[in-house]
Amino acid sequence: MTGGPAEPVLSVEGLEVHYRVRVPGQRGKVTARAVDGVDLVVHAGETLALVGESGSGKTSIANAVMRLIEPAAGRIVFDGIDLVPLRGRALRKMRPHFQMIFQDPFESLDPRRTVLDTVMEPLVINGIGESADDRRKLALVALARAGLTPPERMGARFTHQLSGGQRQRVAIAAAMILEPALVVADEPVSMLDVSLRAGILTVMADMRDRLGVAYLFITHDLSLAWMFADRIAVVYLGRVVEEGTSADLIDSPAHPYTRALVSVIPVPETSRDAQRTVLSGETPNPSAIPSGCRFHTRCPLYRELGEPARCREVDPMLAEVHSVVGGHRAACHFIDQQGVS
Amino acid sequence: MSLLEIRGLTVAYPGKHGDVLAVDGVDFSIGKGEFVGLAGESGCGKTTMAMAIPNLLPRNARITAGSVVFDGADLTTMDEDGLRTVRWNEISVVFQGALNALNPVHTVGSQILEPIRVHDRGTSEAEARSRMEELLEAVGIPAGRAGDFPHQFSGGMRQRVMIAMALACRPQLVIADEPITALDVMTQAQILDLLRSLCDRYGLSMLLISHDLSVLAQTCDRVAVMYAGRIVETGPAGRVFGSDEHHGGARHPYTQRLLRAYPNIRRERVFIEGIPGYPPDLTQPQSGCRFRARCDLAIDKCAEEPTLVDVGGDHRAACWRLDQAVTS
Repeated sequence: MTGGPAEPVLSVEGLEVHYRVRVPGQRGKVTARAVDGVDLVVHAGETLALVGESGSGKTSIANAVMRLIEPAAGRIVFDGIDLVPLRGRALRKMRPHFQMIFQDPFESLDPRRTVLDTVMEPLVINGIGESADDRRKLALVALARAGLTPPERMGARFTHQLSGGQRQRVAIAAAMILEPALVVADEPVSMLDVSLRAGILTVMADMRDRLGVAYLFITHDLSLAWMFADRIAVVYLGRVVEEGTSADLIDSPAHPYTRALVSVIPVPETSRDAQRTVLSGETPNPSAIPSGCRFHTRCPLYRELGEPARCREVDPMLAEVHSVVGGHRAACHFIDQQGVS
Repeated sequence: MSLLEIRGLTVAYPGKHGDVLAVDGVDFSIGKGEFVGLAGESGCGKTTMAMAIPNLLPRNARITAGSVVFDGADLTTMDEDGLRTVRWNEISVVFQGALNALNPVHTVGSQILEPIRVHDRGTSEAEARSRMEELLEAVGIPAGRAGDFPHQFSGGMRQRVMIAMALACRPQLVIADEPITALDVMTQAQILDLLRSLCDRYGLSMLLISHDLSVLAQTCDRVAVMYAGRIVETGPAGRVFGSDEHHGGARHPYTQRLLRAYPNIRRERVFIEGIPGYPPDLTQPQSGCRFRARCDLAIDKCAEEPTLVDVGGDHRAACWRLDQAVTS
């Protein structure tokens, strides 16, 4: 982890991702605004967790940052260069510096390749290393770092011979071998048994300490984000509704949505005193985003305050929440009214 | 008096080198109206044990020992006809992966009606319809949506339909196998609240299977933790998860390590810990404590089979080192 302010390695500005989708009961296709104006900053060596439920747009943000899908609007500035207008060779030149780890290690690896070939591939593609032997040595180091030991023996295996946890380690080794400045990790442990998660996250934390890599860590699991990330951004219906340091966000959530999410996080202890706020209904469809504050249709505070018109009419922007360390912001008109009940 | 009493249950699958004992001599019970959680990692035998109750095991699995006494009758010796009347009417199951289990070409209403028609023969059409509508409302779906098809429902709503189906013939026991695994956090909380309220409202007994200890901690009256085909710890949730003052906390080293594998936002922010090694290979014959190869506290004695011993207040653990395994 890094101390003090550092250069942003990634800054996302006004990002929008739209899809054309069919909606039951409607003719033709409509536009779903999966990502609807997102700003994010990830500093060098920092981990930012992007937390949201399904349909929040968190994976679309990740895929847009990786330039796997085309944004409808916005800038994705990596190391001072906007990636959005880049094409072909210019984009390929940048790719070694930002890599991705996918959720499903059973689908993200080619079963016909050996582990060593899988991890060496980024070196081959980018012409790194003097010789095949050179690349082999680099790949063996990467395997050992990812905890695949002994690397010689693990390297000779085919990926289909490995367990889920081992495969995810291969994916990490391959993503890290070019020593990228940023790794986008999309739910990297959600498919693994709980006893294996710590091992994978420890390897990722070790890479953070050793190589200074920054993570954009995509997860639905707020408690995992709190444990692993320096900062958390909570996404709801295509928009960041709150961001802050992990401790701040969990200890004193400001946005009614975050407050509800934090209240229902399952903890491994029986806590009869804890007040849970279970929101009714479901996240609306991104093809029909509610007017004003997009959360007002499910917001307990909105109802508590007698359904103020402002929530229905004015889209709230992220605004500073008073906090000790700063950098805590939430998009709610009535942050100050929290806790009236 | 327990509604369900399992004694020495052993379930075997044929393996290349002899039988694989997925469940190996398990004792387990569920009381009337009790909400019981069954936890463990994948492959520990929790689904096999649960499916052995209404004898819904895969074709190649066999119950080789033990009894499953439900409401006074042993289901392991009951014939198919007898079991058919027990299933749905007495014991129903919400299966894992249920989100895709609804038939896409039938309305949700007709899918709830079907078990009533098949298993509750005496019910008139009008009675069946009104019960179906009542069930939809009970699980939080407006009865007016009975004519809708599954694709018109979200994952959470489909799970509610599956729960309504499970309740269709007014069973005494509902077995829910990972009912919230594919759902969002908020939807998970909704479904858990629903299961809990249905239990209280209808006096149902519930067996909730989950790999996630935190989910069980907050929902269940009592929990059991399985490892490699055996129950290693069981007790009231308040005791196993340690919020009861003065006498709480997991006692088995496996449960303790599993608990440290979850972040706990109510405590200090520390990195989660894994459990080194892998569960034993059940295709090989097992003896002694199944966890000893991964256990920091293992001694020679652990090569002998530990049995569940009471550590107070109906809280039991199967470990030779209970004196050492003090809660953190």
